[in-house]
Amino acid sequence: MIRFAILFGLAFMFLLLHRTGDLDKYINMRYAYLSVSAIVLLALLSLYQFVKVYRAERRSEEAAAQAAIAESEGVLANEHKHAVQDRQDHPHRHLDRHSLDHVHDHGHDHGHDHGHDHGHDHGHDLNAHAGHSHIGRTKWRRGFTYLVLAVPIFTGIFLPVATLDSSFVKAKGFSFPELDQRRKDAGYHQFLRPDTSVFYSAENYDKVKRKDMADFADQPNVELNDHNYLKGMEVLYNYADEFADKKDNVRRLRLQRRRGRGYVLLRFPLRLHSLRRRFRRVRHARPDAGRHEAVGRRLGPRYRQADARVLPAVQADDSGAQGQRMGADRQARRSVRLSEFLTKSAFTSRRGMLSW
Amino acid sequence: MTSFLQLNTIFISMIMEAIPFVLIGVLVSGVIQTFVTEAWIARIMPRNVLLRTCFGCGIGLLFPSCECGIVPITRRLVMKGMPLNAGVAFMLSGPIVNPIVLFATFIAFGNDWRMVGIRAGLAIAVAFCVSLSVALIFRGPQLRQATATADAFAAPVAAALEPSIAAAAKPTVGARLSSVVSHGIDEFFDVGKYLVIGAFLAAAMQTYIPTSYLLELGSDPLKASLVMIVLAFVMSVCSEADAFIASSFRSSFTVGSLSAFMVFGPMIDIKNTLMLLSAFRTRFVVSLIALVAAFTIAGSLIVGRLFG
Repeated sequence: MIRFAILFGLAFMFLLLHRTGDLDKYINMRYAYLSVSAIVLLALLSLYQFVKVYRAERRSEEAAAQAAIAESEGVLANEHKHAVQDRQDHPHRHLDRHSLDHVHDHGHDHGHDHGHDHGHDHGHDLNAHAGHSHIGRTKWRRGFTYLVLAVPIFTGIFLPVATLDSSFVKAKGFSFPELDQRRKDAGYHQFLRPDTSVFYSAENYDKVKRKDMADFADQPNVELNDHNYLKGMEVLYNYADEFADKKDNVRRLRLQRRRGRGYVLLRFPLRLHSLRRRFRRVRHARPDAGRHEAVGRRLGPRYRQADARVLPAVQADDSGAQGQRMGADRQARRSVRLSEFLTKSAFTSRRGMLSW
Repeated sequence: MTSFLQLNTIFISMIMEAIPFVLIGVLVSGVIQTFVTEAWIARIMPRNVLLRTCFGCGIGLLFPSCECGIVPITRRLVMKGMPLNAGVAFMLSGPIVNPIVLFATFIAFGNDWRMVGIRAGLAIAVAFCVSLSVALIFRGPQLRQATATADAFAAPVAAALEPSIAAAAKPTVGARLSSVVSHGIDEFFDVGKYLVIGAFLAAAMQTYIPTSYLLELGSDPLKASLVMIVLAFVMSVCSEADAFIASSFRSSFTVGSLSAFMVFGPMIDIKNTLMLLSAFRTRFVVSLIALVAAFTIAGSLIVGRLFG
C-alpha cells in the first residue's frame, strides 16, 4: 500500500506542477512531453500496484478462512513447481501467494537466491528462512526506501518554488577562474594601466597628475570618452582610493561611445580588467564580430604589467544601460544584462563564463 | 531558508528530469528479465577473444539495462560459461552504451551530442581496456565458488535454463506483462532511493559549497577527476539518472571530470560493489575496481585535453 501511495504521490506531484504551471521553473519545457509520459507511466504503475495489493489482500482473507494446514501444503507443492519452471517469476509468485511481508528487496533476491534456487529440494526452505531471519533488517531497509522516496513528494508539493536568481549566486559567491589564476600568478597580470610618467620629469608629472585629478574630482560621475580616456584611466589608477565606493557618495564611471550612443554605467568597485574589456568592446565594436575580436586580442599584451598594487575596482551596474549598449552593437549573444549573466553563468560551462 | 528552498528546487528539478528515464529503464529491464534468457546471449556470443570483447561492449545497445540489474545477469552469464573478459566488457559498458542512457545524457546536457559521444566513447574504451587486462591477468571465471564447483554448477544451471526456454511460451501474455510491470516496480523502488539521495547530495553541494572552492577543485584535471569518481561511487546514482546530476556540475567541473563521473559511476559504485562482492572473488573485485578507476582517470584526462 505504501508503494501505491508513493507511486501515486509522484504522479500527483508531476500533475500538480503541470497544472499550476510551475513545471517550467524546474525543467526545460522542451521536455515537457517526458514528464507527461512520466505521469502516465506512474499512474499506470500505481494502478497496477493497487490492483495487486487489493487482490493479495482478498486472497489472504480467503486463505485465512480456509484450513491452514491444507493451504500451506498446497503452496509448498506449487512453489516447487515454480522453482523448476520459471525461476525469474519466482519472487513475484511468492508475493502473490503470501502477504506483502515476503517481498524481499529485489537486489537482495538476485544476490542470494539464484545460487540456491536450482537446488530444487531446498528452494522453498531457503526462501522461507531468509524471509524470517532477516525480516527485521529487510523491514528497516524497506522503510528507509519508502521514507527516502516520500521526501521529494512532500518537498515538491508543499515547499514553494524558489527562483534561482542572482541571490543564489551571491550566496555562493562567484568567481572567474581565469582572473583567479592571474591573481595567483603575479607575472601574468594583464591590465591596462596607462602610465604617461615617462614623458615628464618627476615633479612635472606630479603636477599633471594633480591637475588631471582635479578635472575629475568634483564630477559625480567619471565620464570617459575617446578624448579623455587615457587621462581618466590614469587618474583612476593614481587615485584609486578617492574613487572607492562610499556609501553616501556612489561614484559612477561612465564610458561613452564615440557617437555618443549608449552608455555603460559602472559603479565602483569594478575590476579594471573587466573595465578594460568592456571599454575595448565599446570602442572597437564593429558590426562584424570577427574583426572586433581581433582588435580586442591585439590590445591586451601591450600593457602587460607585473606589479600588484591597489587597483580601483568598479562594479558593473546592472541597470538596463548596458543591455541597450549591447543591443546597439548588435551583439545579440552578449546582450545579456549583468544580473542575468551572473545567474546564467553559474549554470553554464566554464568556458561560457568568460565569453561575455 | 531561501537557500534551502533553492536547494529543494534544484533537487526536485533533478528528480523530475530523471524520473521519466528511470521509469522507462525499469520497465525495459522488466522486459529483459522476463523475455530474454542468458542462454540466448551466450549462444550469439562470438568465439574470438577480441571479437568477444567488442561484442560484449556493444551488447548493451540491445539490452538497455542499468547497472543495478547487470551484475546478476553477468554472474549468470559467466556461470553459464561465458568467458570472463566478455562478461566484464558487457557488465561495464552495458549500463552506459544503451539507447535510454545515451538519450538521457543528450537531454541532460541540453541537446548536446558531443557529451553523448564522449560518454559512450570513453565507456567503450574503458570497458575494452579493462576487459583485455582482465583477460591477461585472470584465468577462470573468478566466481565466489571455486572454479571446479563453478563448472559443476554450470551444468545444472544450463539444465535448469533449457526448460525455462522451452517453458517460455507457456505463461499467458497477461501473466508475463504482469511480471514485467511487477519487476519494474520492484526495481523502481530499489533504484529510486539512490536517485533521491544522490540528487539531494548534488543539490546540497550546488547550494552550499562556495563556487570558488568547487572551481578550485574542478580546475586541476586530476584532482577533479578523482573527486568526481569518489562522488560517483558514493552517490550510486542509476545510469539513467546520473547525467542530470552530472550536468548540474557543469559550471564548476571540466568536461573531462564530468565524463569520469558518468563513466565510472555506472561501472562501479557502492551498490554495485556489494553485488560484485557477493558474486565474484574479493581479489578479482578489488583489481576490477582498480582497473576501472585507473582507465577512467586516464581516459578522462585525455578527454579533458581534447575537449577542455
